Amino acid sequence: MVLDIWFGIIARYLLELGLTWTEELARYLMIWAALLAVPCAAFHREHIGLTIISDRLSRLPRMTLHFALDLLGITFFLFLFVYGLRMTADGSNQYAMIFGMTMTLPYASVPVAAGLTVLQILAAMIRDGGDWHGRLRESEQ
Amino acid sequence: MIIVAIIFFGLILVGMPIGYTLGIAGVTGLLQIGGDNFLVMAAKRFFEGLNLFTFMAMPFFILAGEIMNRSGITTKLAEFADALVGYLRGGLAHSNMVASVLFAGMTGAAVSDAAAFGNTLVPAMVKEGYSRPFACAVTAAGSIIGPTIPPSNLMVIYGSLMGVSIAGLFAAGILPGLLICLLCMAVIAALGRRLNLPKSAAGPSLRRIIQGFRSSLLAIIMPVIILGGILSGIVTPTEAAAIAVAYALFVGVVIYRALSFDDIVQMLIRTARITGVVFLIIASASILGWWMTFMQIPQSIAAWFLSMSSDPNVIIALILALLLAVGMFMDINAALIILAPVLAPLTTAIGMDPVHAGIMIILALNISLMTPPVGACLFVLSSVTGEKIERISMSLIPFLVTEVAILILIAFWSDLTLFIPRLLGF
Amino acid sequence: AYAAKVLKLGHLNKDDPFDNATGAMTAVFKSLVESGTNGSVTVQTFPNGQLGKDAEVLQQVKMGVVQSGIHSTGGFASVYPMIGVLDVPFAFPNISATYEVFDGPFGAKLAADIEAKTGMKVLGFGDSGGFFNFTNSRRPVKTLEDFKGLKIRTMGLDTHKKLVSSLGGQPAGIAWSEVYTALQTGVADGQMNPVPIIAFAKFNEVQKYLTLSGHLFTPYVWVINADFWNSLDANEQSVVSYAAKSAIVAGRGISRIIEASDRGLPALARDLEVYALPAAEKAKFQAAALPAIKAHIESTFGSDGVAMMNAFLDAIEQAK
Ligand code: NA
Ligand code: NA
Repeated sequence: MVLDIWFGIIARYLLELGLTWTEELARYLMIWAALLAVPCAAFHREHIGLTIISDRLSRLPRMTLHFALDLLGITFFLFLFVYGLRMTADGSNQYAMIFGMTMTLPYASVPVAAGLTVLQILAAMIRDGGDWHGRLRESEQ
Repeated sequence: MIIVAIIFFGLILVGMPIGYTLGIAGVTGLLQIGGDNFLVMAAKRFFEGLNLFTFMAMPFFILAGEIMNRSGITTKLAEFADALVGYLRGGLAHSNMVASVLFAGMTGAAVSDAAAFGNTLVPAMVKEGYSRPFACAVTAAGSIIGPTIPPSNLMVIYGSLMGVSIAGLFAAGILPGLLICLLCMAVIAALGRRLNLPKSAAGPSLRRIIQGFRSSLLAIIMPVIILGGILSGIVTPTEAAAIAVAYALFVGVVIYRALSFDDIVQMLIRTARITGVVFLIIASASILGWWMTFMQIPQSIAAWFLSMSSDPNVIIALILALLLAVGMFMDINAALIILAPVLAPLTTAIGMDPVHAGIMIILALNISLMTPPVGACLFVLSSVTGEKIERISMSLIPFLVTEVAILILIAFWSDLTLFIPRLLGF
Repeated sequence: AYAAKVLKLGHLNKDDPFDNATGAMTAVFKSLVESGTNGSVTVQTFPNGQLGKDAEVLQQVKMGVVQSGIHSTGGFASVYPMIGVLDVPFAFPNISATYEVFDGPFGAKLAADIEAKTGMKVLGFGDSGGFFNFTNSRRPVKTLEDFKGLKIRTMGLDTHKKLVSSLGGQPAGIAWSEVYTALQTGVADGQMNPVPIIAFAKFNEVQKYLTLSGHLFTPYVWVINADFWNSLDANEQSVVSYAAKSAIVAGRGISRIIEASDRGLPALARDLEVYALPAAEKAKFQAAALPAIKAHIESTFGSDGVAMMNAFLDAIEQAK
């Protein structure tokens, strides 16, 4: 992505090609890269949220709460996965500005990332057994 | 609508990640409208929320910061700043504010500033003995200087949307931007003793300053190069972020020889992870934001709010309150597009100058970037530094109060914004 | 008694009938539809691209999430790339010819093809603010020679980029949100847009010369969701149909008024040196650009595209 933008700048000044697609391509690459990092961050519990209440709970209620939140999170990403697939299928009738390219590939970033996030939250649930903060303490060491 | 609000606040409070909460609340709203197509909309909005060129500057500035940290550029810069102002209490915090003013010429969005400084100055401040929440708060408070001093993305949107001179808005932002810097520095000075902000034992020494200047020269000229690139028309502000990465990489690898291939991979991974966290929030927020737009909620709230009084002073107060409130739940670009056409005619009706009104509206939305629950600058800083949102928010309170006071001052004292534009003949 | 049918209408501009063509179109349309159906159809507008980018709102119309949209050709190319055949440069002799062409048999032919390929019904082709003209900050452009080497910002459309490069300029793809700053700092020397857009985007603050080249006319494509259209009874359909036609006429009217008012040319003329390209020089510009664009249309859209382009050029010839 960095390369693509540099290429855009160089193209404009050295090659005088005026390649307008570099901007669009850079955007799609960035979205792919950022969305692929979402499951990664989900596994490491890096998605930020408030901890005012859960900090004050004792162990059992806290684990129950985290278990429920994980399930809800899985539901959301499962939803994004399913409807992201629908969007990706529709994307074949939509054209990007880049000549000859449909929106299938850019759109596919959503279901792929959502599907992986479901798996990663599941993996994190198994690992933590409902104790997110144990995981946090461990990662701070 | 009530159900969406309950879900939103409920989930936020019990500690659901904010990126998940925004998406779940948005999808709940769309489910209530009903129809399969509205659910495909959720996926579409999730994608399109990210599909904007202006967001690209943020990961670049995070990456540039990573490179500067690992290659030791940041440390050298911090040592130089320490030699310059370290003997003052809270010297590095003051430097952070001044750096925000310099950086303002390179960026049009507050999140870029938060990303760049959160990843460089915050660790440097922590190393010098500042508490991390305080370092984050200083950075957040300074980040809105970026879009107040030109260039500014919101001013371009506002100017073309409302038919107001963009050059006029740019000129009008300069004094408010400097005022934010000065008053926040005053806050730092006032808090200095009570928070026991660090102060180095050594007094000012010309030798240390010269030494520091020499060793960090390459880092100091970085902003000069980038700003020069923008002002001379070689690159746009978003592209400038890519130049920053190139320059930092060049200095780190070729000159300092401090980076291995493995380092570079590590930096890319960390940048991607931080970006992933922030982008999930942006993407999910655009689901909720679209639902709010579709249901015409901001307009309804605005109509209800503004029907309460016809006194010009009360109207201004209500407008400010409304902008700060809506900015808590919506991306500010979207909020501006929806609310500016509703609010601007009111400001004209009570006799406000269009440029003055524009600056007021834009500053209010920018301040909302620092307020929980949905505050992009807050999220970027929390994610970059690993500090808790609630702890940053607590440290932010004095700065927030100051900036809201500046906002009120700007709203009721038009000369403050209009002085420079008038001087330039707008 | 039955619940009113709600027609949600998305567009790109301000919802003010005196501000721009689309604002006028939506105001007239809303008024005629709501009065003509005695309120059985109500129109709710979403101005300023509130619901998303142009191409995105188009998808929403296709899915029936919103019922209707008024779209730029740039956005419309995402579902109907062949709209690019309208980008034949310097094709129209004057603005009144655009009305005849898009209201006449060619407009009907294009609408039928769009309906067949996208599944959306076309309500008409509206004015997007008149002809495209060039502005720049370097020098007055009076001859083809003057244009050489200028860096001109265009939309991402291939035809627009080819047009600039075949005239000897250098196309620069810059996101709309950064065009003002790019022109100010000189990342691009110039840009091309209709007069009202140049005025409302405040490009007169950062440009020096305006060349009235009239090189392109890109209409707004107004579509309505087919299922929604079919859910209307015969009377409602006829009301929506004549309301759209009247709205388009109103939009053209306000476009010409704005051009003539102090929000159009007279205002731009205060900051910019204005020069209208004479017909003889326009012919030279066209001679330089036409072969490249025609070849591009042929290679991109094949025989279908060439047939549509020829129908377009024939219709213009008849309008002369
Ligand atoms: Na700025
Ligand atoms: Na906020």
